[in-house]
Amino acid sequence: MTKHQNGILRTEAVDLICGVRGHAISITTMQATSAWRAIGQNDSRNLELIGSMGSAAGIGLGLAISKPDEMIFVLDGDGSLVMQLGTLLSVGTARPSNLVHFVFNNGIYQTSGEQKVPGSENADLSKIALASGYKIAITIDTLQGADSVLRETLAQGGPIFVNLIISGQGELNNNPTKIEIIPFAKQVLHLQKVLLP
Amino acid sequence: MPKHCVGISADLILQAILKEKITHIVTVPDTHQKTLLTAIAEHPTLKLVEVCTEDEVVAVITGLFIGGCKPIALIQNAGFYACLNSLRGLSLDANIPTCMLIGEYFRDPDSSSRDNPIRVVNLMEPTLDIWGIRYWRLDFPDDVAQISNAISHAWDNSVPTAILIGSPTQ
Repeated sequence: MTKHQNGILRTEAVDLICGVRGHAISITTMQATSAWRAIGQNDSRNLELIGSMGSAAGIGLGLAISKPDEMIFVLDGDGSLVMQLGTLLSVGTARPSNLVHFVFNNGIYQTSGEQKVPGSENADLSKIALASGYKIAITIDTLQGADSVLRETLAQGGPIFVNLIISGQGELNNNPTKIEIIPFAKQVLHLQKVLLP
Repeated sequence: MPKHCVGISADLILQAILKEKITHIVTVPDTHQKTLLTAIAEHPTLKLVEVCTEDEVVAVITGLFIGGCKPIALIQNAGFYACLNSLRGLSLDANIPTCMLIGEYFRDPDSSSRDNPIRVVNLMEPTLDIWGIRYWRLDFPDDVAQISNAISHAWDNSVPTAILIGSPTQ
């Protein structure tokens, strides 16, 4: 169940992002994590942030500043984003051109009982991101033309905000009922081995 | 009555930070460190990253660290309490070196921090103790040498540390 009647499936959203990822470093949190993992994207250039809800975009901002030659993809949730909504302003102030901030916007807190996320009735996250200083903010609520729109947007440089309207979960490969948590400290060490000479 | 803390030159602190090869200062501004913030903002190589909340300070430091930089935090005592969950989830659980310059807003220079009647001041040392976060004090100019200790401890042990600044920097 999600709040949104119209939109794309979570599985379709990760496929869409996967198609444009290339060598981007990805940071996933909340609802995006298991779907990203199910399509094999939890590789050596990926971080899974379980807990520390709201911090994914901040970590992405730090990574984008420290590695300006790397593309950084943040796969955030709407509930997670609004926990640290000010991060939009922090990103909009630093304006890293290599940061793409995807938000899986299903309008609810998926794991705690599907309560509504504050603002899900009337707040437009793309408008908030744009007003906060992101270079571009788009909303994707249909797969039709989404791939080309996304590619054209990415070509313009960031920071970019992509509001993905999620209307359902979709079937995950292997359909894990419980995600295996890899300690974040271990993931940090692995990613540093990849990134730092 | 002897003072328990005096204002320390911002330049002295800045030089100590530079000596440790710090690359970024991530901050939510602090009243006690006003002159230090100005000095950092005007420095040609040290980069200031301004964010909205202390939770973000911890997250941005995490990202900078992963990318090979050497950041520290500059925050206020009230902000320290605000970011405890991020310190737990990132700095402590993920072993992120997180050295924090913390201004003790409302600190009375005529008494110790623990004897201060205001909780935002008197709870600082006990809170750091409970969380197992080592701290050093910048109460007098000679204490500037402690900056190196606090930063080294954070990086040698991959933990958060704190440097408590009792009086407004000069």
